[in-house]
Amino acid sequence: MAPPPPELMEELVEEILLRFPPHEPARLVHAALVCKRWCHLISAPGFRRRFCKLHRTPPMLGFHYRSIADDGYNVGHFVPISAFRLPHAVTSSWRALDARHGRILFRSLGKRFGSDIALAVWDPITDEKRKLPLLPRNRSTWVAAVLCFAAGACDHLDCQRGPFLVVVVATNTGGTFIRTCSSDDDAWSEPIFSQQNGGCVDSTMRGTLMGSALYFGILMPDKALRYDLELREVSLVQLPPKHFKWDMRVLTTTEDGGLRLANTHGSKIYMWSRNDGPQLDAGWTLNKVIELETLLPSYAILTSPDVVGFAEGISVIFVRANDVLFTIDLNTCEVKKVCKGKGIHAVVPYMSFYTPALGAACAGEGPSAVRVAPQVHEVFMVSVS
Amino acid sequence: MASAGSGDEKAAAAAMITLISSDNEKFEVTEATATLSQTIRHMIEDGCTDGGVPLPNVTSKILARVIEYCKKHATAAAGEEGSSSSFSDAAFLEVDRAFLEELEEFDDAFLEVDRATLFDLILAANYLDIKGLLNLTCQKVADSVKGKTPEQIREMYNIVNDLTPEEEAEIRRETQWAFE
Repeated sequence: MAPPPPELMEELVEEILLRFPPHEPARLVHAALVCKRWCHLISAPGFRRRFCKLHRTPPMLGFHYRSIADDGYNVGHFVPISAFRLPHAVTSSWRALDARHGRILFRSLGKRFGSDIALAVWDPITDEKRKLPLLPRNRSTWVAAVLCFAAGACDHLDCQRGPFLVVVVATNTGGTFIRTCSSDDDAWSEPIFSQQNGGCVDSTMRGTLMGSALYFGILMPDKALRYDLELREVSLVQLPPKHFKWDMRVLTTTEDGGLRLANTHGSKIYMWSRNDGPQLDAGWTLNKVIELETLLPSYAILTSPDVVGFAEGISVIFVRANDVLFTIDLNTCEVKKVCKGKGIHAVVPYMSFYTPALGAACAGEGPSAVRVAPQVHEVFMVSVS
Repeated sequence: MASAGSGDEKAAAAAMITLISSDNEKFEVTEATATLSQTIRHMIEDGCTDGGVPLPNVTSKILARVIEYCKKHATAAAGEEGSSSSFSDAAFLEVDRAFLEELEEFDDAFLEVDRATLFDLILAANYLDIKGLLNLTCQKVADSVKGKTPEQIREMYNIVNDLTPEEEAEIRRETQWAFE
């Protein structure tokens, strides 16, 4: 008879579980079913912190996008990547606007809101939702971002249960201004106006976080609006003078944390990165041009491709071509077809670590274990428009 | 026994340390090899390595393998420091890539061991605090359960399932998406 397999030494089980791949969250769930001890280890808050710290960059668990349905209306969808499924469904009348640090910012549409902007921040893993006070639209063009309240002072490895901040940039006849609302506030801040005369916020571009500043696109003149989260000041920075401003473009960050502009023109993606320097008029360098004709399948490039999104931190870009959405990994040039649909837009990647927080079976060891009462969430009403 | 030279870097690099396994076998290694272990590094810093370093938790069979790993990776570390000044950037990158590939091949071959040896290596890497080796060996075990059901994992690692059917059902209910 073969000898029994050796036993896994208790004290090292956690070291092994920590090395499960973050982009395959189902594997940790399967491991939690092995025995009580494994379940307890995986569910412990300390495990989550160590898991995040070891892997550093959260994986993309999925992305939200909008497309045009047969009746001509916009519909929102969530597409999971790998085996991850959102434990709670996304209502199609929600419009994802942004996602960062484990949270998704939604706009809820409904007649009862009139022309006001109804925003909510959602943690899709715990299903915790937080409605923000209604924001009067005042005939503005606007764009919004969500982030951890500590912004530049946090490593964002495990902050998604902490306080958050929502930043809205809006332009109307009065100018371009910023309003913020944090999870601790019951009201929007007073508007902070840009001192410089600057065009209109580009509502097709998501903002990007670089250090302790958020950057948003501005149209005419072509600039980016920089909102310093610590000083609460607004300034304008130059965009690459020779980029193709009438084609699709996204603002994002480079691997080393610099500002990047990706811009499609013809069948190519042009990638600019902003030169280092504290001054606001630092120049830009065109450091990568990607020829999509050789990368995408031939049916896709029958129409000219558009860059429609970017996953910060993992160098993955979203390109829409002929009603198909692709992801392109900028490091490996790997192309994946991720979904199909008419008029795909507003692609918002959701990046987060997922470690299962399991209930009674794993809440503790032995009879002294106390089950933590589930948090009571605010009921979130969604009216279908 | 050789002891560290006084302040002379070359002498220090060539200094030898004696490691003594649980079955009393002695291994002479350079300080550069030994200090991949944080545990031994601290002992050297505290000046308590004269007369050899007893490692009562590590058998000679496992210690020989651990030393093999440390020798290879200590050479890699020394190569990185030494070559940066003597090659142009491109040449350096070329050498660097070739060396990394060689190191990867070494690591792959190093992990070709039975499960009991792998576990002993993990224990030794943990005790000696050798980050690279702990990472390598734990990752190997983590990868080995890819695509395995909880039942198969239990069989592989001789684990008794002490979850009640109700507890199992509850976990499955909470994480239904992972089983679709």
